[in-house]
Amino acid sequence: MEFLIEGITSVTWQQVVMYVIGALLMWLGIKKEYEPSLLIPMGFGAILVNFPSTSVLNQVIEGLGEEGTVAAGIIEWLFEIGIEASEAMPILLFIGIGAMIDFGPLLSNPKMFLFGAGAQFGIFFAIALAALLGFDLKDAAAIGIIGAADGPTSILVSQVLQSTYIGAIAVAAYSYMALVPIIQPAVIKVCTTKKERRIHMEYNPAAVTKRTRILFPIIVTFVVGLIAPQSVSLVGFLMFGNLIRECGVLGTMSDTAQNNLANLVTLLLGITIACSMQAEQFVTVETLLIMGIGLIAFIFDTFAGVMLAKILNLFTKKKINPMVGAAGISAFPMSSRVVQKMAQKEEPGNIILMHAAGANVAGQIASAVAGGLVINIVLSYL
Amino acid sequence: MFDKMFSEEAIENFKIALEIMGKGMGGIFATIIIIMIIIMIIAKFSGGKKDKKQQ
Repeated sequence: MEFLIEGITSVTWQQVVMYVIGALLMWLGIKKEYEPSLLIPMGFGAILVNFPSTSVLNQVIEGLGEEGTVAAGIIEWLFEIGIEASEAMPILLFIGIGAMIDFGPLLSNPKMFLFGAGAQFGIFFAIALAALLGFDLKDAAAIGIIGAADGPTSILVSQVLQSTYIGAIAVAAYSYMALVPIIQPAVIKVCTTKKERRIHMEYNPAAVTKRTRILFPIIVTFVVGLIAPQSVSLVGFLMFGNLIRECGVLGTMSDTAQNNLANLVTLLLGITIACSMQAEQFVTVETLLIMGIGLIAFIFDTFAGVMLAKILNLFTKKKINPMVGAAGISAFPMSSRVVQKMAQKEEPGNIILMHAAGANVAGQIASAVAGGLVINIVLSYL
Repeated sequence: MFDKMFSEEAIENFKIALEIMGKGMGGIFATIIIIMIIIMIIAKFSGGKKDKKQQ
């Protein structure tokens, strides 16, 4: 009867820690509703992969054949096919994300593009910090990309750079995206005055023609493809999804991309990424450092966006509410809603949502560009 | 891990990371500004009826 308790007696303390982490992620998703579509599959997957001799990972079955037979585990297979082989899952998810995004607020106010760019500073600050703390360059870059505030980008970059910390990076990226309503207000309050937070911004949307909406994804793809070709897979698929939405002749396909495709890939991505949450890889000092560096990346993203707005205010007559700069991170649409809520709290009736939404969607593009550039630049140093 | 923190190699990597920062932020801004300018030009010459979604 020993075979019945073999599993229990083989559990390590690190695996128990992972059961707790898995339960915590599920609790955050279910009770607190923090990014439930990702944290729940990740949490459940973290438990599945940490049972001794779990069948969701590849196992060598002794006794079959001369040296045993490798029995493929479903989660490991999904990881090899969906992430290791060609980063298919995060890239396919971008089709759905692109189909969901309305770039209208950005196209009617193109200056908001600048905040999307500025709010990527946290990525590079985090890379520098990670390097200083002893991570090698490719791992530092993979950790820094948490600051992109974009799960698929974080997973893709860490996979391309073959970082061993992909699990911790994914957990950090998605957890902090869910914690934007806590992180950003704190940082914004430190870097701005009440007077600045009360700045009103008029919204006079320029006419955005259908032609502009259709040309936009095509132009972005061309520009990014020529300047930062490593970003083409992410930006290209993001723009493809957006083109499906905006062309006006693919209604059912757009619906499929926004709903069925996005949900299916999200479901599989969440549970698949758990493959990298095995106890021996995850329960380490490095994971704690990565969580800390990831938080700092988000903080400096927000800080840089706000400071860019304040710098621009030195040169412009029509003042920009600095909180709009903070919305330049890629956590869409949460960040723009957080900024609007803060503006409303500072002064009831102050509506800056459309400006913040413009910056927020710009951040989506900028973060994907940043991911490609990080890969391109870091590989040139290796 | 702790013995690698602030080591000679770490400081060298930190300096490289600062270069990466410069190139990366420069690349992002260059890309974004080019896109922004093209969109502003298209919007200027597009004119036309106001998009139905905004009516």
